[in-house]
Amino acid sequence: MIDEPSAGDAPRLTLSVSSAQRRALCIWLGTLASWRGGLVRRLVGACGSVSDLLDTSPETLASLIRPPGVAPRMKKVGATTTSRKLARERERPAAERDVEEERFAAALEARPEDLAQMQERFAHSVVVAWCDPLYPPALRQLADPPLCLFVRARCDDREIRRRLQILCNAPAVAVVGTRAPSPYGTEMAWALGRDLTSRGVLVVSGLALGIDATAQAAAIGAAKAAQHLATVAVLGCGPDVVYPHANARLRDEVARRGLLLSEFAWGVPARPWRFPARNRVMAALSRGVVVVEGASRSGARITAGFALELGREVLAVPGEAGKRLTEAPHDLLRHGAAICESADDVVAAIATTQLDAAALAGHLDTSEVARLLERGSDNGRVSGVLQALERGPMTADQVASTCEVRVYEASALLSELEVDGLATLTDGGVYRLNRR
Amino acid sequence: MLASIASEALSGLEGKPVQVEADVVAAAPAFYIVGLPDAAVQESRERVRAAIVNSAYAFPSRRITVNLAPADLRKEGPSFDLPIALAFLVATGQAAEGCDGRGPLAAVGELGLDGTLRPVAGALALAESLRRRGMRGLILPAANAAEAALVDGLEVYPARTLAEAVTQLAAGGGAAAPPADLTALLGSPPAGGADLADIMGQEQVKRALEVAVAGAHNVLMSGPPGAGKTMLARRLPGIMPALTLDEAIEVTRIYSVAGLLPQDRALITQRPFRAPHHTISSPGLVGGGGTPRPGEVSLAHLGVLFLDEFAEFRLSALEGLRQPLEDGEVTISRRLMSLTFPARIMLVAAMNPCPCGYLGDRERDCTCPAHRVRQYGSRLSGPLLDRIDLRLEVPRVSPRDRRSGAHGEPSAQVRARVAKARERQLARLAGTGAYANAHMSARHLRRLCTLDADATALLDRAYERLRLSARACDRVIKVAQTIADLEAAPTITPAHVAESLSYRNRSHHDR
Repeated sequence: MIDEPSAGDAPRLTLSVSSAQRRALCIWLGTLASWRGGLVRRLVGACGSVSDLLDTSPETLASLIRPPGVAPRMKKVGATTTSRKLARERERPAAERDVEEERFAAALEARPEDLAQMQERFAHSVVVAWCDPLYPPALRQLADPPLCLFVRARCDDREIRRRLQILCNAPAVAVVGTRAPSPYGTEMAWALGRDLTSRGVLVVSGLALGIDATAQAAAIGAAKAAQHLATVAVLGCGPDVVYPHANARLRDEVARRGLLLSEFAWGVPARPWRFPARNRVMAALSRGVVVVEGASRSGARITAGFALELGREVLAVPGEAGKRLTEAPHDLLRHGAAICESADDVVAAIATTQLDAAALAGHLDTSEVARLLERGSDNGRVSGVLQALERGPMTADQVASTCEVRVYEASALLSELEVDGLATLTDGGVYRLNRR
Repeated sequence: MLASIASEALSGLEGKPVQVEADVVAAAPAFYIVGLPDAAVQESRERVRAAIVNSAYAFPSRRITVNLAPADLRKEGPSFDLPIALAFLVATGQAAEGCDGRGPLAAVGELGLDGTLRPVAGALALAESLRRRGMRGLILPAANAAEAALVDGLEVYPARTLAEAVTQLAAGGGAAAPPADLTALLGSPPAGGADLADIMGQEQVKRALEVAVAGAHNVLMSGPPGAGKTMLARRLPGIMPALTLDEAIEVTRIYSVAGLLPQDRALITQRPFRAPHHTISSPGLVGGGGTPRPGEVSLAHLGVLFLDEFAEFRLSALEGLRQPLEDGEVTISRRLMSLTFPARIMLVAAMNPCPCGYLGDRERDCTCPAHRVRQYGSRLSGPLLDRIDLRLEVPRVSPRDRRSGAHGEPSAQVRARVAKARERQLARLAGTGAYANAHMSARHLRRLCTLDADATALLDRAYERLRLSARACDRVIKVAQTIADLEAAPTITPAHVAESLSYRNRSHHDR
C-alpha cells in the first residue's frame, strides 16, 4: 500500500481545468484503476471528493499514485499486507503479475490526453467519463465511483448512447446468484428475468455462469421490441474480453440487444479481485438486488452487502431449508431482506410511477393452457398431468403412476406441455411446471 | 522325399489357402521353416520334433525344409503344427496320404509336446474357406470339431493326437464327425438370462429401451450412480429378436477367431453383450493390432456394446466408434492388407450427469463446479452424439417407489413386440439398404416417414420452443417412426412425436 497523505497535504491546482481535460483525466485514472484495485478510493481520500480529484493536475496525481523514489513492488509486499493476501499474491504466476504491472506503468507514463484518445478509438464502443451527462447518476452515490465506464455493444455509437440514456432512466434490478444453481434456482432466475423484462424492469447482471446467465438469457428472450434495452451485463473484465468462455454466445446476444459495461479498460483480464468491484457497480446501478441462490460466502452475498450500504432494496428467493445453495438468500431473509417469489414481489419493492401499469398486468400463460385443453380428446389427461405437476416436480414415472396412465402416454403428455411452454425438463429427468 | 499337405491361414475373419511342403534330404541335420513364418510358427519346430518323437515316430538326422506357400502371405500362430508334422511324416515315409483315392484332406491344429492336439482359433472361418475352395475334408483337433461341423458340405475328422491324425490321413478320413444339427443348436433355450421383469420402477427407461431396440437406435443413459443403468443395459439382448442361423454363424465366426468361443458351445445363439472397461485402448475397442484382431465393437456384432462411464473413455477410442456406427463394419488397414470386421451393433452408453454423479439428483447435492460439469458433457463430440438417437435420464428410484413399483413385463413379451416392429420396418425399408429405422438416411426419412398434419405442427413448435437443431428433428422423427411401428400405426401422430421428444436429456439435446 502507498502511504496515504492526508487531504491537507495534497497540493491543489487553482487554475480551472477545461472539460476536455477533465474527461481525459477521468479516462486516464479509470484506466489506471483497472490495473490497481482501490486506487480511486485512495485518491478520493487524498483529494477530498471526486470533483476535487479531477481538479488536481496529472503530475500531482502521478506523484500521489507513486511517490517518487519508491519502487511500487517493494511497497506492495510491505508489512501492511496481510499474510493471506501475500500468499495469494505469491500464487499468481509472476509473468501475469508483471504484465499487469507493465500495463499499469505504461498507462501511468502516458499523457492523459493521449491515453484517452487511444481508449476511445475502438469501434462499437463508447467510453463514458464521470463528468459526462450519460454517466449513470446512480453510480455517483458510490464513495469510489468508477471514473469512467467502458461500454460495448454490437451497434453504432449513436445507438450505444441511446441505450446508455435508457440505462440512466430505467428502473434496473440486479438478479444475481450462484454459478452452479439447482434446477429450481435456474427456473426462478429464468422466470424473474423473463417477467421483470416484460414488466419494463431492466435486468442487470454479471454474465457469470448459472443464475446470472439464465436471468439475462431470459431477459433477452422476453424483450420483444427491437428498441428495448434487453439487459445490461456488468463485467469483471474489459468489455472486449470474453469471460467466461462458456457464455460467449450469450455475450454476443447481450452485445446485440443490450450493453456490455465495465469499469475495467479494454483488454483487462478477469481476476478474482475484480469481481467484488464489479458487484459494487452492479448494486449501485440497480434499484434492487435479487439473490436467487448462493452459498454463505458468495459473490451474490457481496452484491447484496453493497446494495444494503447504498440503500438499495434487497430481495431473496427462498429455497429449501438446509441446502448449501440457500444459505445466502435465507441469511438475507433472516436479516430483513424482502421475500421474492415472483417478479411481482420485486416490482412491489422497487415500485415507482414509471412502471407501466399495462406491463405490470403481466403476461400469463393461461391462454396456452386454454389452447392446449381445446385440442383433441386429451383434455382430461392433460389437466391431470398439470394438476400432478402442481404438487411438485416429478419424473415421467411418477406422473404415470399419479395419473394412472401408461408411462409412454405420460412421456408424450409431458413433452406436449414442454413444447407449449408449460413445463420444463430439468436435470435428472424431472419435469417442473413453469410458473408464470 | 517331398510331401505336401493343404492347410489354411487366418486373415481377419477369412481363411487363406496355405500349402505346407516338407522336403527331407540327406545332408547336414537341420530344420528350416520358410515362407514368412512368425515367431509362433518358428517355434513350431520344437513342438513338432517333440510331438513326433513322443508319438513313437522316428525323427531322422536329415536336412528338413518346410515351406509354407504362398511365400508372400504372413503366417502366424501355432495352427500349422499339425500340417507340418504330417508333411514331415509323409516325406519320411512314416505316414501315407489318401489311400482311398477320394482326394486329399487339409489339416490344422496345434501340437503339444506329447503329441496331443490342442484347439486352434478361427476353426469355423477356416472350415468355411476350405469348403469354398472345394476341399473334401479337414483333420482338426477334436475340441474344434463341433464348431467346424457347422459348415455344410465339408467332412470334419476330429483327432485327439498326432497318431490319430496320421491314421485318418492314411485312411482318407474314416469316420467323419456327424454334421451339426443346426436347428437343435439354435433352438436350445437361452440360459436363464437376466429378465426385464426383475427391474422395479424405471418404467420410462424400460419403455425407451424397448423403442431403442425396436428401431436399433443407439442409446445414451445418463443418471447418478446406482440408478440401475448397467442392470437395464444387461437386459437388452433379451428383448432383441432371436438370432437367425446365419446371424448366429456370423457371431460364432468372430468369437472363434478371437479365441473366445466357449469350450462347450459350438454355436453362439445369444446376442452378444460386451461391456469393456473405460480404460480400453482404441485398438481394443474397434479392433487392430499388428495382426488385426476383432475389437469389442466386432465382438458385439449383432448385439449390444455397453460403454459404462462413456465420458471417461479415451477420446481416440470414442472417435474410432464413428465408422462402425455409421457403416456397421470396421476396416483396418495394414501395410500388406486391409481387413474388414463386421460391427453392426447397438451402442448403449451410460454416464453420470457430472463428475460427482449427482447433478439433478433429488436427494444429494451435486458438488461439482459449474465449469467441470460443462467440460464433462462436452467430452462427447457432436458427430458421435449425432449417432445416438435416444438420450435418457435415468433417475435413482427411491426405496419407496421401488417397493410400490410393480414388476415389469417379462422380456419375452417385449421381444415379441420388438420382432413385429422390426418386420414392419424391414418391409418399409426394402431396397434402401437399411434394416432398421435408426439407419435411415435423411433422404429415406423424408420419403418413407409420413407425419400427419398435427404431428408436423407439433414438431414445428418443438423446433421453435425447445430450440432443436435440424439433426435433432430428424432423430425425433426416426424415433417417432419406431414408436409408430411398435403400435402398427400407418402414420406418425402427435402422440408419437411427443413421446419421441421426451427421450432426450437436457444437457445433450441441442446437439
